[in-house]
Amino acid sequence: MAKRDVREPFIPERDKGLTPTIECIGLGIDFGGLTAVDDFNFTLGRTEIAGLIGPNGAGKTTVFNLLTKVYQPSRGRMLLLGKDTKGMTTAEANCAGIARTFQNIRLFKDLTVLENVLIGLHNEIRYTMFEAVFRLPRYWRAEKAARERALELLSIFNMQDMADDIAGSLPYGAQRRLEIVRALATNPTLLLLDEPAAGMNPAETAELMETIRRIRDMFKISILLIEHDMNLVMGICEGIAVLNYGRLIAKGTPEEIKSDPNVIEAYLGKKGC
Amino acid sequence: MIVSQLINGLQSGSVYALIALGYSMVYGIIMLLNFAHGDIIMVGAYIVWVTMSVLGLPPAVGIIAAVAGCTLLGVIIEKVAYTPLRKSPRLSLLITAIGVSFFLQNIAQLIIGAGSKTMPAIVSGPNLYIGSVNLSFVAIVTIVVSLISMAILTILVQKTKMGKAMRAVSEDMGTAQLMGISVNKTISFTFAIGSALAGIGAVLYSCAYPQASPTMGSMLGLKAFVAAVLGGIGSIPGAMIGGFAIGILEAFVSAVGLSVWKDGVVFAILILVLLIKPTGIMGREIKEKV
Amino acid sequence: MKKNTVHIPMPIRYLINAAAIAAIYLIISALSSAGVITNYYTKILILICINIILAVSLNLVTGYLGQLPLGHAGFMAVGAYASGIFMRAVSGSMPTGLAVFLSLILAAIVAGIFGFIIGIPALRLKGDYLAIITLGFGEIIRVVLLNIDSVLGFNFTYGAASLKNIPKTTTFTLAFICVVVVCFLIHTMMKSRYGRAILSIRENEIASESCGIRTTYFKTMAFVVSAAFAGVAGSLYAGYLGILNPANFGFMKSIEILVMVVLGGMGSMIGSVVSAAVLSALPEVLRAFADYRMVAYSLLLILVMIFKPSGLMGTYDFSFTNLIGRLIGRISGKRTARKESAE
Repeated sequence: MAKRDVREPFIPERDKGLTPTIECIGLGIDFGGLTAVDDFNFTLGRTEIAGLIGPNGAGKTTVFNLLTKVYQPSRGRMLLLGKDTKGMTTAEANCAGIARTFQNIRLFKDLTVLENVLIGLHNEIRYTMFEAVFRLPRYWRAEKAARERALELLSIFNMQDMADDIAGSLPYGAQRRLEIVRALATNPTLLLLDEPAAGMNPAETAELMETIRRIRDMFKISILLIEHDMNLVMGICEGIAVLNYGRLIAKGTPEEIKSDPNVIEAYLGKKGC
Repeated sequence: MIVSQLINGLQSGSVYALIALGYSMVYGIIMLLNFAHGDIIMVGAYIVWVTMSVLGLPPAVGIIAAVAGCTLLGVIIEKVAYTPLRKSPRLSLLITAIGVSFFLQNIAQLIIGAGSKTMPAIVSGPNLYIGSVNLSFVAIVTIVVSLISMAILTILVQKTKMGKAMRAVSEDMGTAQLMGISVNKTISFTFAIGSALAGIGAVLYSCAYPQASPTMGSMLGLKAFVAAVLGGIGSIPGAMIGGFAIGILEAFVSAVGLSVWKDGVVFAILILVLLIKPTGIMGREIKEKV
Repeated sequence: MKKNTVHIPMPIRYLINAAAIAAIYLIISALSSAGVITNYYTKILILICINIILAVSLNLVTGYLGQLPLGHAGFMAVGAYASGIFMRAVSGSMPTGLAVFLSLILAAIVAGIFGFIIGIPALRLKGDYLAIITLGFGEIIRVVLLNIDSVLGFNFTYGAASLKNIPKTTTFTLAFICVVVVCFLIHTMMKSRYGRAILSIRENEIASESCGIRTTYFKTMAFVVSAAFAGVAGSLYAGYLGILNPANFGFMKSIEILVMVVLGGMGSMIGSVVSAAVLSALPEVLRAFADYRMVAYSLLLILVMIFKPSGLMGTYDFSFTNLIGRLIGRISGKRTARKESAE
C-alpha cells in the first residue's frame, strides 16, 4: 500500500471531492503574552470521525473554543463548509452548523431532560413571540412537532423514558449522553465532543464508540473529539491531530500517529540519555 | 478657593477611604458585597452619642466604645448571618447582606427613633492657617488619623502572619486551608479590621457632621462602596485611592454649584467605571474557564 | 405526570383558568358592593395588585433570567411619572377610559425604553456587578426626577415638591385586569421557546450560546419586558395615590420588591403573587405592629436565606388545572378501588 504523503491533509476516501466541513489555515491565538495555539492547520472531511489528542495543557480545548467562536483567533482563518467564519459569535457558529459538548458537563441542571433537548431545538422551532404569547395555532403545531422531534432524538439513546426527569438528577453517563442529544438537536454539520469518555469504564467506552459511529452514520456529520482514552481514539478515529504546546506536531491516520517519533516524545519524553 | 475645596474633598475622602477599605477587604476574601457595612457606621455614630450625650462619659471613652462596638458588631454579623451561607450561591449571600442592612436600620429606628440626634463635639482644637487657607482642626484630625490607620493596615497586611493569611485566603480559600490556615479565624479577623476602620470612620464623620440618624449609613455606605469599586474592589490601595477620588470629586461638584447633583455624579462615576473597567483602577481581570 | 392525575386537554384548561379568575373577581366585586369589603380594604386590594405586578415583573429577571437587578423601583418611577404627567395634561380633554388606557401604554413604553437603555450596558456585566450598576441607575433616575426641573427651566416633575393632582383613576377592576393581563403574558411567554431560552441563560449561559441562542438579545428582551411591566405598575400607582414624589422610588423600594420575589421563591410566579399579596396586606392588617414590620421583614429575609434559600415556594409552578386533574384522579381512583373490592 503506497505510503500517504503526510504533507497532504488526511481525508477519508468517501469524502474526497466534497467540501471539507472544517478547514483551519494558520489558526492561532494569544492570551496577553502567552501563545496558546499557533499555526494550526487542519482539515476535516464531511463524514469523518477525527480525534484531537495531546498532553494536558496542549491547547485542545482552546482549539475547540476557537472552532465554536468562544474565542476569536488572533491570526489565521477557519472555513466552515468553505465559508469564512470571521467575526461569528458562538450562537452564529451554532446556527452555521457547529455543535459541541463540554469537558465539564454544562447541562441546564434544573430543567427537565426534555426541556434541555427542546432548548437545543430552539432555532428549529418557528413561531414569533406574538404567536407564542397569544397561543395562535402555529405555536401549538410547532411545539407538538418539537416535542416529537425531541423524543425521537432521545429514543436514539434510549432516554425517552427520562424525558420528564430533572437533568441534574441523572447519573453521570446519562448526563453526558443528554449533552450529546442536545448538541444533535441543534442540527449540526460538525459535532465537537470534549472528552466524551471521561469517567467511563471500558464497557461504557465501547458503547460510546458504537454510539459515535451510529451518530455519524445516521446524521451524516463530521465528528471531532478531544480524548485521552487511546483505545477510543485509535478505535474510531479515521484521522488524528496531535497537539503539543499549542502546535500541531503530527497529523494522520492512527497507524501513522502511533509510530510518529514526535508523538512518542511528547507523551513519553525523549528516549535515551 | 480651590485649595479649600481640595481640603474638604480630602476630609470626606478620608472617611470614604476608611469605609471603602472594609468593603474591599470583605469582598476580597469572601466575594461578598457587604451591604450592611455602611450601617455599621450608623451604629458607631450612635454609640458615640449614647456614651457621650446620654451617659455623659468623656470623648475618649466614646471613641473607644464606638470602635470596639463596630468591631464586635462586624464579627457578630459575619458569624451569625454570613458563615452559614459560606457554601451558598452568591445571590443568597448578597440578599442576606441586604437583609442585615435593613435590619440594622430598622432596629435603630425602633430603639432610638427615626429623627436625627445631635452629636456632641468629640474633638476640638485650634484651626491651622496656611497662607489664605483655613484648615479646620477636624479636617486635620480626620486626614491624619485616616492616613495613620491606613498605614497601620498596610503594615498589618504586608508584614504580619495574619495579614499573610488574609492574602492567602483571598487568593485561594481551599489551598489556604490545606496549608493549615484557619479560614474561619482569618475571615472573622478581616471583618473585625474592616469594621474597626468603619468605627474610626464613624467617629471622624461625626466630628464633621454632628447628626446621627438611622439612615445615615445608607448613602454614606453606598458612596464608599462606589469608591471601593472605582479603586478596584478587593484591592486595599485601590480602596484608598477610590475613597480620596470620590471625596475630591464631590467637593468639586459642590464647588461649581451643582451640589444637588452630587449623588447623581457619584453614581454616574460608578456606571462609567463598571462599563469601562469593571475591575477598577487597581483591579485584576478574572477569566471564566470554558 | 404523577399517577392518579387526569390530564385535562388544552382548550378546557384555558376555560377552567378563565372561569376561576372571573370567579375571584366577581366574588370580590360582590363583597365590595355589598359593603363587606369597605373602601379601606379596596385600597389595600389595589395596592396588592400593584405589588403583584411589580413582583411578577421583577421575577422575570431574577427568578427566570437569574440576575439580581437592584433598580426596579426606577422603572416603576419612570412609568408613574410618565403616566402622571400625561394624565394631568389631558384630563378633561378626552374620555377618562381612553386617557387611562393611553397612560398605561405610555408608561409601559417609556419604562421599556429606559429598560433598554439601562439594559444594554448593564447586561454586559454579571452577578454582583450587574446588581451594583442597576442600583446606580436606579439612584440616578431618582436624582434626575428630583432635580430635572432646574435643568429644564420649567415645572415638569416638580421634584421634591411632589407631582400633585393626578386624577385618581385606578379602580380595583382596572388593577385586577392589569394583573391578569401581565401574569398571562409572562406565563405564555415563559411556556414557549422564548421562555426556555431565558431559563437556559440562567442555567448555563455558555451552554445556551452554544445551542445557538443569542443570549444578549434574550437578556435584553427579558429586561425590557420586566421594566415595561414595572412601568405599568407605576402608572396604576400614580392613579391610585394621586401624588408622586421621587423619595418613594429609592433603593428601599427596589429592595421591598426584591424581598417579595425572594420570599415567594424566585422562579415561581405563584410564589411572587402570594408573597406580594401577603406582604402588602400584612402592614395594613397589622397596623399596630407597623413599627416592627420592617424589622420583621429583614429578619425574615435573613432567616429564609439561611434556611430555605429557594424561597418559601421554590420554583414551584402552580397549575390550577393540574390541581383539578389530581382531585378528579383521586376521586375516580377511589371509585375504581371500591368497585374492585366489591367484585
